[in-house]
Amino acid sequence: MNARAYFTILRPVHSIVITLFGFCVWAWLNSLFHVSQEALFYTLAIFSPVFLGSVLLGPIHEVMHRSFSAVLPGARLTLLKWHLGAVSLTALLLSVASVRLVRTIPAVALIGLIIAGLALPVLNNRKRWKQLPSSFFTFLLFGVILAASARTSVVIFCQQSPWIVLLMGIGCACSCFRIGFLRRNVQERWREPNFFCFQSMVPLLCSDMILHAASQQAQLAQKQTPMEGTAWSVCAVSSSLRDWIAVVYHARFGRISRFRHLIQLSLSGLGMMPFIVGISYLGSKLSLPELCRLLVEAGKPRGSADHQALFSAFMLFPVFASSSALLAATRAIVPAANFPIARPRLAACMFINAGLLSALVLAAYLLGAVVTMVAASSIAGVPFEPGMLQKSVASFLILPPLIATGLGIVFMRNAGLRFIASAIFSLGTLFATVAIAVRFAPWVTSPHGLLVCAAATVIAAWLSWRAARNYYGTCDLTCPIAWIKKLGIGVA
Amino acid sequence: MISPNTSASPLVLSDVTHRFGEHAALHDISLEIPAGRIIGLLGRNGAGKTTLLNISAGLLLPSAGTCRTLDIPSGQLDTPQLTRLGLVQQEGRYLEWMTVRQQLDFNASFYPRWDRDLEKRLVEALEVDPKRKIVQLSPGDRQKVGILLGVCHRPSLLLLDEPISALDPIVRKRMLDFLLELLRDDGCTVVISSHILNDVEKIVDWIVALDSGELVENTPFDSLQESFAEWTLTSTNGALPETFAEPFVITHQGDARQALLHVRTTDSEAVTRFAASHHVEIRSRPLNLDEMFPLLTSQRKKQP
Amino acid sequence: MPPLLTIDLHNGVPAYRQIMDQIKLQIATGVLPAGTELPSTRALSATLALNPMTISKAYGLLEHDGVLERRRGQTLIVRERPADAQLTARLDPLRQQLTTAAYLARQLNVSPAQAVKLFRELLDSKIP
Repeated sequence: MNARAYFTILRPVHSIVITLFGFCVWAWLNSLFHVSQEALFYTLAIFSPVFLGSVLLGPIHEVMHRSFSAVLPGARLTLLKWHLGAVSLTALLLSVASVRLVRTIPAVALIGLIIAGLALPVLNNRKRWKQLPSSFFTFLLFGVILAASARTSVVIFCQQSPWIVLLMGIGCACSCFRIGFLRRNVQERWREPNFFCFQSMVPLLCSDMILHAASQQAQLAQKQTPMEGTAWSVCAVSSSLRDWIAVVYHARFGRISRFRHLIQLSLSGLGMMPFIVGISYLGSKLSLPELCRLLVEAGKPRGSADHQALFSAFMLFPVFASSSALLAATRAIVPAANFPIARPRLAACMFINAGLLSALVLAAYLLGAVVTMVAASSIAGVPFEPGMLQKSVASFLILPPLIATGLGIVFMRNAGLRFIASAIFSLGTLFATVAIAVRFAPWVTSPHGLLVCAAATVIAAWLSWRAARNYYGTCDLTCPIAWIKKLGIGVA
Repeated sequence: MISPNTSASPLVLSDVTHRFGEHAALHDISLEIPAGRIIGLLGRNGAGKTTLLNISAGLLLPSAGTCRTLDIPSGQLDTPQLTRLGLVQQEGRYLEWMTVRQQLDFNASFYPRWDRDLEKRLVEALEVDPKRKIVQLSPGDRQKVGILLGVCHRPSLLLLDEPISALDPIVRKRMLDFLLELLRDDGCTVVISSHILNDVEKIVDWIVALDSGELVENTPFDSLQESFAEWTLTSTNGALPETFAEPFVITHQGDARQALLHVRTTDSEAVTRFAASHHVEIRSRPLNLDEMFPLLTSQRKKQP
Repeated sequence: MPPLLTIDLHNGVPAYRQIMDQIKLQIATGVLPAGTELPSTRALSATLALNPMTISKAYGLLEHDGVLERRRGQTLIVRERPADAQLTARLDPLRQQLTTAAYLARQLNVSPAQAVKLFRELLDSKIP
């Protein structure tokens, strides 16, 4: 393998995009957890080596997980050589950076940690989670727990015995590389060809690969021992619309039992609002009753609302709920098979299923919001008033017309128009609309407001239905709504 | 100039058994592939052909028995042997995000002797667009990529698992012509497993047949053609017997006046002796591979 | 000029045998006179799109039967044969065809005299 071949599989542009994305996520996590003191140390000596080691390793493993590489002469050692080279160069760069920037830890210890971190991902044997957890993840988990529980002691250990850290690091790296590239560990990898590295899965740049990977996973999932699906309850399918809605629904969602669906829905419905509110207060030192009181105050029609609680509970959460509902609807509109029904009927089945599903999802989240508010008021020790629910209800009332509009945009045939429409109907619009609804919550929840919302829903739904009918009337049924599939939705 | 090849057999299997869980895909297979020939590996679905080829290429280690490929145990195949081995898998997996050109260049970088001229000719002959991404290719085109990857480094042992089943007739013919060329120019040994017996018949000179994991045939193709025949019997005195006890009779159809027999015998006097002992007139017709194939397995079942 | 051979790979007759029979026929009919040089194994296998082993076997057997001989080490030429061998060579293909005809005649209950009369008529008519 020469340099050209190596850079072909490494795909520098993709690797840089992923690295940047990874560092952004890390920075966001840092700000959430307010890690400031040893941030640089953790970034340069712990996170970066492991992350960069994985990014560099991905393409190497991807080659090993393909059948053609099993007979490629000298592949194992050549790949080892090039990975070692790349890792060494990265180690050098990281060491230079960390030695200059991290003053509290001796350079020697830093280098040891960097070397170990870069080599650790090599142990990953890429087996699916359901089977025995790979050594890499056990190590990682162990490391995370250790670091979290003994943050200061790690630092102290590095300061007190840096040379031991260096030796351990070198030893760890050597054994990782040795074990990871052992002949018998590499020989069987071609049998699991569904591994795709980060570089192959960059959204927008690799849309056809994402689709391919999703369909491969779906095929694999279907081949494995099937979980108990939903039993089919209709003996014979007549020509009624109701039967066909059931058929279409079963084709897409029947693989998972109704019970599991219910569990999933309940968990996300009940858990999402507390989760979102909790995340936004993660770094703060509030106790649970105090947090609940803030939430309750934010809900009260004329209460003194904390901006953070207001935003997370009554804007972020409803927007999340609507995105979820829209996603569910989008999954429902992609036909799972070729049905022997006329196009208008197909359109009707798909549309109604989408509508029902999104309504179900919204209802689950609304219920969750209500339960959360009731629970919060009892935890905070504040007597519950129905008025506390006003903002939640208002924010949810505005969602059906938005979702219907979103669905209508999905059915637009002209890609250019669709792009413009999605740009207008973006998250920003969603947030703005929800914010306005919450601001004018009393009016929205009044009979006038209800009427307006209902009318808006009906109009949006009707327009959306027309778009759906037009779309299904003329689309290519062998690959309907192809652009949605490129995002990986509706492939299974 | 093709001279009788006296070099060592490039592929030797001794009592190879392979199990997938409970199921035995191969059962006590022992065979030696002659060098410099085109060997047709025949068998129904699930007979064990793919397993045999995978074991030969070192992708699988047999549960029992040994396999020596290019004079090395197949589990220890290393660079010197792998540069001389070519494998074209039935459903090979490649780096799907690559274009065909990128995949070819990537593989080429591992082989010291990658024939670029041959690659160019083959890309043209097989009608592959090198600029297309592998993920966008149809199954037939993917097969073509597999062929390109397995063949362009001019191996001395080429193993092909259903390489042409998804190709259209014109491209298939070009592929077969090309395999013959490879044999002529390099004296390469080719093992090709295919369901399309019509195509296999055109180029092979040795047949290895598997049935449910067992070896049922390992003979030159000529001998097979010369030993199988279809006999049309007409009685010269009265009715024909209902059965014929001779062991070389494989199938028997017909009534009292005319019978159709499928026989397998290398005895050139068998016809005259049979005609004399049963008082029949015999018209003999040779069988082609399509007709021979079902008889290969049923004959095995006849023998105790 | 390479001999014009048509090989049917799907009729069950081994290819080498078809090559042998056709070369013998062409020699017997005079298309390949004595002394004609035959193409090399490689060249013929390329022309006929056949396995070189097959050609090699056919040539080997023809050489063994005394139909071809090797000159100057590599080239094969048609051997000059004595008159009686030539007669046998001409009668053999005819015998093959007539065996089938004889079988059919027996099946159809045509008497030998009638069959011979028919054959004579056809020989004289010269209509293909």
